[in-house]
Amino acid sequence: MAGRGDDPKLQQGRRLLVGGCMPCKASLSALLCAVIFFAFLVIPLKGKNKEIWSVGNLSSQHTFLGSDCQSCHKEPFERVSNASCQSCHQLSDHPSFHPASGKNQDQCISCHHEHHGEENLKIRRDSLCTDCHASLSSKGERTELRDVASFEDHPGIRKLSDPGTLVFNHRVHLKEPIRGPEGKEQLECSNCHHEQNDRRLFQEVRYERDCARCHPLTFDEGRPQTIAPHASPQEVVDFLFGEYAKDELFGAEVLRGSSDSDQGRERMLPRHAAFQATQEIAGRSASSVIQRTREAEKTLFTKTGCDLCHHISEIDSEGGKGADSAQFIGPLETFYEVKQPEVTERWLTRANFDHSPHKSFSCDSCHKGVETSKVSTDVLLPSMKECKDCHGIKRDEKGHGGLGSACISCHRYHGDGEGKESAFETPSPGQER
Amino acid sequence: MSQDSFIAYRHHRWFWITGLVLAGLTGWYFSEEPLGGRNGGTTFGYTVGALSAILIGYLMWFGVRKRSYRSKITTLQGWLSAHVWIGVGLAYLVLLHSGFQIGINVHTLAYGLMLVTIASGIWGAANYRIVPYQTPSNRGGASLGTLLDQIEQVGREIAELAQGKSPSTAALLKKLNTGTVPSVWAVLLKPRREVVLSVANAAAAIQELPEVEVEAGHKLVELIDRRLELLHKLKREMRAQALLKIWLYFHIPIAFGTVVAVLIHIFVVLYYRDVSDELLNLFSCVSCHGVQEAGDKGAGGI
Ligand code: HEM
Ligand code: HEM
Repeated sequence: MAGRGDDPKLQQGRRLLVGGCMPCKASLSALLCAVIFFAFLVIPLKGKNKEIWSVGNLSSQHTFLGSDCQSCHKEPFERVSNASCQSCHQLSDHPSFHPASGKNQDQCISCHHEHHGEENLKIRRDSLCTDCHASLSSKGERTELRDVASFEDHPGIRKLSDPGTLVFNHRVHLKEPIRGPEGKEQLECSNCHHEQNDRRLFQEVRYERDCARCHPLTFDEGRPQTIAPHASPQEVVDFLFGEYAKDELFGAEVLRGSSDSDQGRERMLPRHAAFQATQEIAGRSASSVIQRTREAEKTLFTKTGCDLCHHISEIDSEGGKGADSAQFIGPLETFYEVKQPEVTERWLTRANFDHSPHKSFSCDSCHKGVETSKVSTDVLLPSMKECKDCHGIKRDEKGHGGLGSACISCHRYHGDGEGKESAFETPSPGQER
Repeated sequence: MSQDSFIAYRHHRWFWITGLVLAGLTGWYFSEEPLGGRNGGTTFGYTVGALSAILIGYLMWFGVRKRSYRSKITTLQGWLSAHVWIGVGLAYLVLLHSGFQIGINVHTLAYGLMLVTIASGIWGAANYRIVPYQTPSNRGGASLGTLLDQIEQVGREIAELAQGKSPSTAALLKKLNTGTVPSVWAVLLKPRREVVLSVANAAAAIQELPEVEVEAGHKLVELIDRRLELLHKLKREMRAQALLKIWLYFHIPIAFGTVVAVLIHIFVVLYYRDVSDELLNLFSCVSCHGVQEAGDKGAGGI
């Protein structure tokens, strides 16, 4: 009966409390360490359950890679190489980087951090730029760039000048109602400038659609209905020659004022008739056709037609204009040259501007001075002030207030994939159009 | 008094040191906005990660330090004070290191284990304060052993006295001599359960005894009462001792587990990085300032 049932507990009490029990804690420790070591190091090293090593989920674009770590992490103790990225992402072989990117910074992963959410994979934060650009000068940079800490400090847009391959006067067209085919009318921007399908930019102005209605290419007061094609000078001369040859053949009366159906018939002059015509022209009045062609050419190129918009120059052909002769039968060569027009679709190619969100504004709320512009060398881009009126207000930390004005929304980091061109070289009017 | 002193050691010296360092690091943390977000892989992240690892090593060293009796006790108290406050601070320091990112992975396992270690540490420290300083437990295992010896002794006396008595005495014993030495868990989990001798029950049991055994019966009840009292003392003592020691059964093994997990964490993050590159980045100006190539267009490093 003595110490009934006490003994084992006495033992326990002594063991746990009286003598302390380091071996017990030590074995507990060893056990726990071993479990952790195997479960979290040895087993993953063997390739199983490796996700437990991951520091965070992949962003949605990459989830398809699943738990295949090796699709990016090729070798242990090496960082993910550009080659890994470029096995899917086709940046050019020599992606260009910001000129200030130092050693290591030409690695994709220096900026694109995976496993930390999408906002770190594709960085849109201004600090990407302003970390350096806010204080270039105080860092003793040899650069002409100004310090820009935020969009508020953004320098103005450089004054651009159109190389001027076309002649155009906005003022004349827009200032007040202008004579149109059916009397006076007031033109608007949208009469000539049409949105592109994606509405980001505008299509090139095209003669047929945008000019021809008011500026038809007539060339002979005696034949007001006949319109020369808007084509190369040589094609135009060929056309004129053909017209006067037909005149000569069928008599001007037939053609003049003839109906559409008549013209259709005559255009399909049978082959033998054409041959005959040539013979007859040759015989009768080649020189008259040539002369009338030349007159019309001169009128069209220098008085009523082409020179309205194009820069025209005369060609000094060998033998001069006297080369035409009564004996000469065959294609006439044009005396004129037209400077190839170059119409710029986008002036600031780095600025990724999109018109569509700005649709609710009238054109002239940003493109100032259009109505007073007289020469086509004017590039009527808005000034920074117009942008800043809305975008210059700073957002607070949470992104409220102000309008988005992230550097990245206009400036692109990488080149456009064409060779080594740096994405950040300042565009100059000559090369940038 | 001096019980508190490992918390308040020298005017909370370690509380302030830890707090100031953490405040400074917090300032640094928010002053930078590294590409890729704040995480353990930035310069700040590496610095604070290494600091955390060193501090964990320092806390582990306490186990060794504690057993070295050569130095004076006050110094040990200083160590303990530092241990407690740095330990608590680590819970926040590691969050700074990881940019407050946690997930379901080994890295967070390390942090989680560390948190459990810290929690058990706080539990232990709290126990030191709750358990009355002036209990005999101060004399360590000695009093506990004495108590156990005494209980055994009284038990033996009871057994001797009851030897060769009538079944009524056996019944009295069965009814009244009920207390046992509790298990450690019992004292920890049900501290309030106590066996007391009911006077009414004792009187009733004695009345059942044959005349000759009544005197011995009174003696027995006295002994039983003494034994129960001893058991009660033992319980209090055990509880005090258990509270002072049991937490270490969590604190120490999990602390070691934390160390293993941290080592795995460091191995894994380096497994996916170019160690030499990372070190280069960390210890050179190149990471921010770039290398100016000869003939550079003038737009070189920052
Ligand atoms: C020398 C010491 C250390 C180094 C070099 C180090 C390195 C790193 C690195 C590079 C990361 C970032 C991984 C990434 O997000 O890509 C990281 C994250 C982390 N580290 Fe450390 N670390 C160290 C010490 C510690 C310690 C002592 C702890 C805690 C006990 C710890 C807990 C964490 C946690 C919880 C994360 C976040 C993981 C996640 O994003 O889910 N680290 N560490
Ligand atoms: C990561 C955090 C911590 C680690 C790795 C750690 C580790 C350790 C180790 C190894 C010991 C020695 C135990 C022995 O050998 O007897 C110890 C003792 C101790 N720790 Fe911690 N500890 C941590 C945090 C804390 C915290 C936060 C507290 C209190 C708030 C604390 C309170 C104590 C106390 C009071 C002791 C002395 C126990 C004794 O009297 O023997 N520890 N710790």
